[in-house]
Amino acid sequence: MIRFILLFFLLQTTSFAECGKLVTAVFNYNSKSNTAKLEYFFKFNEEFCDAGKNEINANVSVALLDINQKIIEEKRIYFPKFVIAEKMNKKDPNVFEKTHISKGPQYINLKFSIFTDVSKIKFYKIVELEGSKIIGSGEIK
Amino acid sequence: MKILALLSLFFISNAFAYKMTIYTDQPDQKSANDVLSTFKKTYPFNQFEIDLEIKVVKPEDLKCAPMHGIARLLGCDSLNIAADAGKRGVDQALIIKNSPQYGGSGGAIPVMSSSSPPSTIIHEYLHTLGLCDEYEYSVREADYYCSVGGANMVLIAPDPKGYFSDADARAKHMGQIPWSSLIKSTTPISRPPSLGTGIVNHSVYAIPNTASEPNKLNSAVGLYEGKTCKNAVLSKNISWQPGGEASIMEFLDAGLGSANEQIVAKILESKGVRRKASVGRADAGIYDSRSPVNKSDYGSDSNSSYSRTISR
Repeated sequence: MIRFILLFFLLQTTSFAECGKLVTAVFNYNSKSNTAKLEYFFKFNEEFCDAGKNEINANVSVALLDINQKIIEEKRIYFPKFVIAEKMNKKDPNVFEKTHISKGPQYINLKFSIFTDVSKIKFYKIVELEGSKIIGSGEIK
Repeated sequence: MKILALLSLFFISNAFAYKMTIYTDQPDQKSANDVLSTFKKTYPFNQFEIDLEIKVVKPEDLKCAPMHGIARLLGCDSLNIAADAGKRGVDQALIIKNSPQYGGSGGAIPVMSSSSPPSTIIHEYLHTLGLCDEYEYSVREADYYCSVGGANMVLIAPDPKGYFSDADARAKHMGQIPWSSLIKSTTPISRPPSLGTGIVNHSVYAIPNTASEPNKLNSAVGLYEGKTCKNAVLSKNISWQPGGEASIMEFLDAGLGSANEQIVAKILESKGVRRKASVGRADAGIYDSRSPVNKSDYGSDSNSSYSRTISR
């Protein structure tokens, strides 16, 4: 019995340590201008545990900030730099025939787990990791 | 109390599950079902807790159109889809456009036409994860593409003076190779004075892998000279790949190849996608119909130099 109680609390601790309220965001990354902006922001009552805050091939950092521009949550993720449109051979669809690399807007879905009051999130900031250039920032309404 | 503990596990598991939604305007969802089943059985995706679902939408919701007036260059203005995915807490949206043409595109949201082989969406999703094409680019595309590199491609101009030992090559280049942690100390990255474990054998295909571990039949992870940037005019770089055979990034009927499988698994882990609980090791599905491959084409520690040879 004691073992189960301990297991339960251990699991709960793990859960609370890594989880928070789910918020999702849709970012518009325009590789032509190398700029990004927030398109949509959704708040959920659902619990979400985020174990993906530091992707190994991350090229940008996306941060959610409070009214004082203090980071509430940040994750380093990979933004695809362009769209690769590919057409296959008519006779053999397993063979690539033509490729076109296209720069322009792409919409990226991101999920965050928020430990504090979600209503404190007021701003976002997107920074390119190489060169630390801010490629997007703004208010979250 | 047991129930409480199990409930807690269930709750945590749900909170981690990675959600992928296939948006399609194909009324019978046939292609989406094929893609779903391909994802579920393909290593390494079959080792992760991924919730895959299909959502049928209207053609106008997908906003897909031929790019540059070429019917088979399929692109979609996916804001609608991304918004729906965001609203529903989806991690990754994928699009299958009902179309008789063969084609797809890789970007933040991978796209394929319903007539394309199901492996197309895996190829395009690997672009989403940061992997590069491994086929030969045209002059027009090569210079642009070959200035970037990716998770499965590094661009290195070999030292014109050559390399006097493998240690010399490692000292100069291991820091540049994104998959260096996967290269065993026994696998050379040079054949002094030349750079490279070998040259990619494009006539040998990595077999699609439905087992529960990386394909054992492929060459050792190393530094293999590819052909993606062969037609680049401005760049003096050579493209190097981690695997010695043709992968799905070159031909859609090939598998990911052991090297790309390991790279993708690492990326998925870093995205927070949780591995399934261990349920035993490899099934034998991929080990059928094999034929030997010339060992000299591959790294010296290759214990896996078998693959299927397909001639076109």
